[in-house]
Amino acid sequence: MNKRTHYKELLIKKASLNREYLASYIERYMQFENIDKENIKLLLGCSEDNYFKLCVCLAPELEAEDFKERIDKIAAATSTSSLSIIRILKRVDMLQSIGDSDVMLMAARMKESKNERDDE
Amino acid sequence: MGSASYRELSLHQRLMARDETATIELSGLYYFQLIEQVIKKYGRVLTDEDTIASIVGDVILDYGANPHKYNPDKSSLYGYLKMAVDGDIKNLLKGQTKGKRRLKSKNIGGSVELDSLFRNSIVREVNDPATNLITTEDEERSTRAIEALFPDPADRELVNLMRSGTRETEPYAIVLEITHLSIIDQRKKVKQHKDRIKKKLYRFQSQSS
Repeated sequence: MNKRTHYKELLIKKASLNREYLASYIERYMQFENIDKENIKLLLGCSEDNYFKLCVCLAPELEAEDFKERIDKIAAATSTSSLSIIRILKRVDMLQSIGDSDVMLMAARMKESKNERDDE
Repeated sequence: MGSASYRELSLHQRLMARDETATIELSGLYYFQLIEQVIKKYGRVLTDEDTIASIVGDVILDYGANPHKYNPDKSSLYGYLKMAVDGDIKNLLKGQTKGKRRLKSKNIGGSVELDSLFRNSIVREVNDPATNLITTEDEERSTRAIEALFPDPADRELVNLMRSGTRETEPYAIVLEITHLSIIDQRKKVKQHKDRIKKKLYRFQSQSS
C-alpha cells in the first residue's frame, strides 16, 4: 500500500467517527449489515478513489427540501449510485432512531440466525 | 499572511453554503499537501507520520464541517489550516516533553483557540525547547518573498504545492482549473506552469545571491 492510499484510509477512519460526514453513515451501515469495504464498494458501484471522495463528502440532511438534488450532486461527483447512497442514509437514520442498544441487539440476533442457517 | 485567493474564497463559500461535495476539493487540495509539508517541518522531532496525518485530518475535517471558524479576510485558507496544524503539533510536542501525551482522536490541542474573537490566530504561544528548534522565522521570510514574487494567488498556491513536494498532477490541475482537460493535456499544462515558476525562482535566487 502506498503512502497516499494509507493516508486516505486514515482520513476515512477519522471521518467515520464524525457524524457530519458520509463516512460515518457508511461505517454504521457496514457494521449493521455485516459487510466489508469491498462489498460496500460493490453496492455503491464505485472505485477506490471515488469511495474515498464519497466518504469525505458531508452528509446531507434527510429533511432538506432539495435532498434528492443534493444526493444526485454527490453521486455525480463520485460516480456512485444515488439510490445506494439514499438507501444507506435512510437505513442508518432509521437505526439511529431506534437507538444504539436495540440496533446492536438486532444485529446480534440477525447474525445468530444467519449462523444457524449456515450450520443447517 | 494575506487574504484568501479567489479559489480559496470560492471553496470557502461552497462550504458555508453546505455544498456536500466541496470537502472533496478541500481534502484533494490540502490534506496530502499539509501532511507532506508538516513531515518536512517536524519530521525531526515528530517521527510518527500517522500522528501527523491524524492531526492534519482532524484540522481538515473540522474546517469542512465548521467553515465559519475561518475568516477569509484575515488569512489565506492554506495559511489558516497550516496554523491550526502547527498549533496542534506544538501542543502535542509540549505535552510530550512534559510527559503527558495529550493527543486524542477528537479535539486535539485544547490550548489553541480559533474562536470568533481571535479568528485565524493562535492565542496562546507555546514556549517549549523542542518546538523552539523549529523556527518559523525563515518560513515567514520566504512566504513574504513568495508573495512579492508571485502576485497571482494561483501562482502562490502552485508554489506551495511545489514546496511541499507534491508530484501528482491532480492538485495542480485543480488550482489551474484545468481538470476538464485530458490527463495528458493536464500534465503538459502543469509542467509548463511548473517550469515557468521554477525559472522565476531561479532568477530570483541568482539575483539575491
